[in-house]
Amino acid sequence: MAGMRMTTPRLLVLRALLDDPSRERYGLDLATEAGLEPGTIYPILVAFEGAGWLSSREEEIDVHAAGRPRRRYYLLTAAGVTAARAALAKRSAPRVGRLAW
Amino acid sequence: MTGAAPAALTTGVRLAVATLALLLPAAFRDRQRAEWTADLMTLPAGRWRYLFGAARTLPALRAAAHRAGLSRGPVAAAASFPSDALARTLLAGLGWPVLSWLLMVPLRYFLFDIPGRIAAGGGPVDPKSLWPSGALFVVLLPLILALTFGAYVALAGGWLLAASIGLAGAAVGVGLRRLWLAVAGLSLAAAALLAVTVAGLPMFDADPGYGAALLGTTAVGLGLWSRTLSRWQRGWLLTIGLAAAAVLAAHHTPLGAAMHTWYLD
Repeated sequence: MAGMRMTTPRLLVLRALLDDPSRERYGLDLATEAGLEPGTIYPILVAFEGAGWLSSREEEIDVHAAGRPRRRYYLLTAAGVTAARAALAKRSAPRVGRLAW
Repeated sequence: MTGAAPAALTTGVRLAVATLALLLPAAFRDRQRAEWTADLMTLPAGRWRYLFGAARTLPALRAAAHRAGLSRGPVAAAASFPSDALARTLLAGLGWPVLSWLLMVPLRYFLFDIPGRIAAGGGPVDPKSLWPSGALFVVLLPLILALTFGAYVALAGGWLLAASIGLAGAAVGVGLRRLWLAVAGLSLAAAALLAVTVAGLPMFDADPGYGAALLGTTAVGLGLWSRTLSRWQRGWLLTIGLAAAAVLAAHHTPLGAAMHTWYLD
């Protein structure tokens, strides 16, 4: 999804994901790593998943034994890794400003 | 912080999560509710701050879910033909008789204080006398006829109820473009009507509410356990199922017998 708007929170999430692209993370875990307000990360994860940058799966636990609902784990896809690197590189590249005379 | 053992949520927090989840697309609701709940249960503090953040980003989450195609459930899109067709058939074929019965017999019996009128007048009260007269009667005539025949079908049960189900199935088959269902429904209706007209099988007194109760139980089961039907369909199935149970109860209680005697006499 080339047209995805890259906001600062989205870039923070991508950076956190790229720290270890092979590790699955759940929402709150990732929000903490990215330094986002808790509870605000899901629109970003769903947007990335919709773009094909993330895959997700439900945690395989016995919910009664765990005492909580199943979490959803997110993992960068190959396309997501490429897109995330490109997005971060684009943001960190020095901007070409107007020439000052 | 996130690895903490889960702790129970207060009623207020649970209500807030439920409210937020209700504002999401139905097919996406359970997934997100589970995520929020699991997060909140492992948050040692700052739950309301978390919820505030979730509420603030709710429009973005809704939009993202729509764009990602997560607002369309994989099963809901297929709309499970068997349960959908059965639900529609029951809603029309059973709903019409039992709701007509409910309105025409018990409701009017108590609303117009029929026992009191009978006691005061010393004689029967004609159910037809309860309808409005003049122009209003003419306007309401189609409704009156539909309710009257519907109540008779519920009271008779058996063959007439089977005919009603058959006709409803035929209509559903036409509506859903399933020829086999339309033909099966028409065949059932024709067989049931021939049974009471040509074969001379008893129209009344053959089924004291068991047919309605059986179909009503099916409706309740479908309303309770089907995951592919809409909330409205499930609500109406439960209502109709309970009304069908009332038909059975009325057939086997002195009060019901008094109501039916008044209505049929």
